[in-house]
Parts: sequence; structure tokens; C-alpha cells
Amino acid sequence: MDITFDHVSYTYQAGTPMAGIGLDDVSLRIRGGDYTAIIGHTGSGKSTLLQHLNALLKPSAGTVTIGDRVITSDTSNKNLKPLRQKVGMVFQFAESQLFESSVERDVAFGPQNFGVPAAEALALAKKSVAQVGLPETVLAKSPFDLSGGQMRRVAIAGVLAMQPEILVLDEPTAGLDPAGRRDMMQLFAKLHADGQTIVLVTHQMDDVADYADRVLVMDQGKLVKSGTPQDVFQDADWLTAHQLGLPHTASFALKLQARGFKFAHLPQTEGELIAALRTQLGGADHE
Amino acid sequence: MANIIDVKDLEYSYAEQKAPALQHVSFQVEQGSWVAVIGHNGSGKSTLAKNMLGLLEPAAGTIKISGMELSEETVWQIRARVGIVFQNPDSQFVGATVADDVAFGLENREVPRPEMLERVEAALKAVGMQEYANREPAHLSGGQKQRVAIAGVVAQQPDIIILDEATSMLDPAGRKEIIALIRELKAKLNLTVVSITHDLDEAALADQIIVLDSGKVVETGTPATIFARGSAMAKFGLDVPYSERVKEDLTAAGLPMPNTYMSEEGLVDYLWTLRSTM
Repeated sequence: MDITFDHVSYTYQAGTPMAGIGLDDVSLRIRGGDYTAIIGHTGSGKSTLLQHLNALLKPSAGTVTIGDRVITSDTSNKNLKPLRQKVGMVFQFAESQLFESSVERDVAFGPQNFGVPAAEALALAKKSVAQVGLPETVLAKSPFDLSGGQMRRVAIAGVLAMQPEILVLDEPTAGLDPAGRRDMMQLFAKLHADGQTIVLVTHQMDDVADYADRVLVMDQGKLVKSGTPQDVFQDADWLTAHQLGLPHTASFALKLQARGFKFAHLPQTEGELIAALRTQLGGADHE
Repeated sequence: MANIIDVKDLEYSYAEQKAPALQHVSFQVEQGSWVAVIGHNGSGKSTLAKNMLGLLEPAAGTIKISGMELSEETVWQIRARVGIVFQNPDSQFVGATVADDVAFGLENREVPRPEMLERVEAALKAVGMQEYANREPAHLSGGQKQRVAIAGVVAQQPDIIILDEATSMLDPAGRKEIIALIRELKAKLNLTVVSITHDLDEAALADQIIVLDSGKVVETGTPATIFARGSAMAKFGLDVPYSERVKEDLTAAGLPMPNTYMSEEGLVDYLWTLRSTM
């Protein structure tokens, strides 16, 4: 399932003195099967964009096509529910939305809400809890007795249990410790390898370089660039102008470049950097 | 210089848990220094902070702040000297406006109103938030909220500020901003900083790093000594510094690399030299 934006604009509190532009003439396509990253500094329109992906917001102008559903400013709020099942949203600090007395009930709540019979919803809960790497023993526990990282996994399982075609993640690693962050990113990589379409909003450029197929760059409500991480991260000056950082490897490679090292293509991942350095410095196989 | 914090053989156990949360924890912190406490989740970092503020009562051991032993009698005096900023900017607001919020701690201590007004204004100025004095805290960004929380601490004129993962919920720009602010305040107000953190950039600023694991102090040392552990640091709950990761990869690729810690600039210099000798 693809999501396509055709000249989408969105105005907050339209018609009031508080009106503000959220999105400004955005056209883009998110392809089914891809791992798409959305970057941009705070206030660039990332969250507004995200809320259009399952019609939580409707465009003020232009059209958003989600699978075979076309959403415009005139679209009625009725019958949007199926979209919410197809596009699963994991919001920031998703663990704050847990509410049930047990993990099993919390995770099964979503599918039941979409009309899945109880027994089937419980089976889905069991499967999704395993998918996010939690042991079966947590099913009976209260989600509030778990650690922060585990609670976040439960919240993600709750979205996966709805079997969405597209999984949208809004800064899913914020506030986790380094080990938790790594595990979480590996979990998404595995889901993607198993065919899950993923949309990731993040400030972590290393994660974009390491995991994403495509990047969308937002600034002041506009889509200012899109492409592969390789393409988008080539131009360091342009990124700085848009208040964005570089992946760690790219900024390190720039320092080396300033000292005479030559890179045909600015390396973005550690693997690329090491390979490039080996050819310039030799290595074990050199001798 | 004198030790402003002296923790000896501290023990703490939570009632519902079998393993003690802190065991034989001892360390000293020099007045005016910056100490980072690191360790993975559940290692006892926050339990330690709560003990230092008298929010939890140790099962055994002593905590001395400026030579004063923490006890039921001294806890209020000590809390006046030690301020803490918590992780979640949204869960530490009580005031309807920014200024009210900063004043809250002073009201608790019955600071006379004229002095309170002065201290609130000075504290907001110190964190660069004086223009927001009458705003609602809810409408601020994460970084601004943490600034207000820091102002609340600064207004108390403490000797010690504890940062309990105070930057972990902020975006990279907000994080840099807060770290820079703490550096500035530390110099200006002669504070001692204890930062509980997973952030490498924050830990790198410390004079001393204390590593906690399963409630025990397993290492103490300068950032350079701790960072030189390379990939072994992952088990301490910190990221491996980027320069160390590259160094390990290059060593594995058969290049001659030194064992000591190198910053990124140091590594660039080293690689440049290596390249020019080939």
C-alpha cells in the first residue's frame, strides 16, 4: 500500500487570527515495503505530516491518497476507521497510553476495537508481544509493573496487533538508554525485513543512514528534499542551513577530507568508512 | 579541594525486591567538580540520587553533604543545598506560570516576598527565560521546560545540582542547549554538578565518571580512562564513543592502532600521520 500526497497544504486554526501554516504544498510518495525516514528540526512540520498519514488531520488543500482512499478537505469523518487500522501510529512516549490491567488485555484492545473476536484478539496479542521481543510471561502482568523500555514495547505490540500495513513511528527511541535504543532499532529492522512498511520520524541521523531506504526532509512546512540517505547526506552545508545534523560517520569523514583524505562519495555508515579507509591506508591484506 | 559529597558504604533495598538496589556504595566528590554517574537501567543511579536527597532512607551507610551528615534532623538543610532536575520536563511543574513555578520552592521555605521576587527574576535571567515569566509552562518546548526546572533549582541557591537524565527526553538541539547552560551556571555559581546520564557528550564533560552496575560502584575514573574501554562500555549503559568504534574496526582490519583513548580530532590526526608515512 502506498501513500501519496498531491499538493497538500494544511493550515492550523484556519480562519482565526491564530492561523498558522502546518504544511505548504507538499507532494510526495511513501512506497509500500520501503523504510522511509522523515527528518526536520522541531517545528518543521514532521508531526503535521505524520497526522495526515492516517487522516487524523485532513488537508486544507490538495489530496492525500492512502491505498485506495482519497482524502481531501471535504472528506467526511465517517468511515475513516479502516484507515486507522491500515496505518498504525506509534506516538512519542507511547507507553503513556497504556491503560489496561494486564499486558494481554492492553495489546488485545486495538484489534477488538476494530471488531476482531476476543479469542482471535488474544492470539494476536500473544503473537505481537513475541514480535517485540518480550517473554510470554509478561502477558499476565500489569503493564505498569514493567520497565520503561518494556512498556514502550508493549505499546508498540498494541499497534502491531492491529496488523497495520504501514507502521508509523514518531521518535520511538526518545528517552531510552543506548542499549534500549539499539534493541528497538533492531526490532524495526527485523519487522521491515519481514515485509513491514515503516515510516520513522527521528532526530537520529545515524539511524537514518543505517536503516532507511528513503529520506524526506521537512522545513517550515515544506518538503525540501527527498532521496536515499546517500544522496541527502552528501551536502553538509545544505543540511546545516536547515538546522539538521549529519550522521556521525559523514561528519567524521568530512574532518578526514579536510586533511587530505579522498572519498568518491561521502561515507554515511561505519562500514562504508572503514572500507574507504582500508583502501587508503592498507590493512592486513595489504602486506 | 574539600569534598562536598562524601558517601560511605551506602546500602539500600526496595521492599519488594530481593537484590539490594545499592551495595557498599562509596565515593567522594570535590567541591566545584562535575561528576557523571553512569550505568544501565536498573543499576541504581536514580536510587542513589534519591538517597542523596533524603527521599529514600538508606538501610546502612552515611551521606555527608558539606560535612553535614544526612539524617532526619538535617534533611531540610541538606535539601536547601542540593537541587535536582528530573528526566521528564512535563512531570515537574506545579505553577500556573513560569515565574510561579520557579517561586514554588522558595514559598515552601518561607522566603520573604521581596527577596523571592528578586531570586525568581535572577534565576529566570540566569537560564535565559526572563521573557517567559508569565507564560504557561505547558506551552513551552521541552528544552525551555528544562530551563525553567533548572531556574527553580538555581533560585534555591544550592551548592549542588543533580541532573537525573535531565536531557534524555530532549531533541539534539535542546540537549546541547541544556548542557551548555549547565556548564555556564556551574562556572558562574560555583556549583558542583552530579549528572546521571546515558549521554556521551554529557559524560565527556565530567571530571570524574562513576560507573554503577547492579547497585555497586564498579569503576571510577576520568572520561579518557573510562572511554578507553571501548566496546566494554556498552555494558555500562553508555554508547561507545564514535572514535573508539572506528578505532576498533580499523584494528580489526589490521591497521596499527594505539590502545589509549583518542577523541575524534585525535583520531583524525593519527590517521593523517599514518597516511603520510605510507
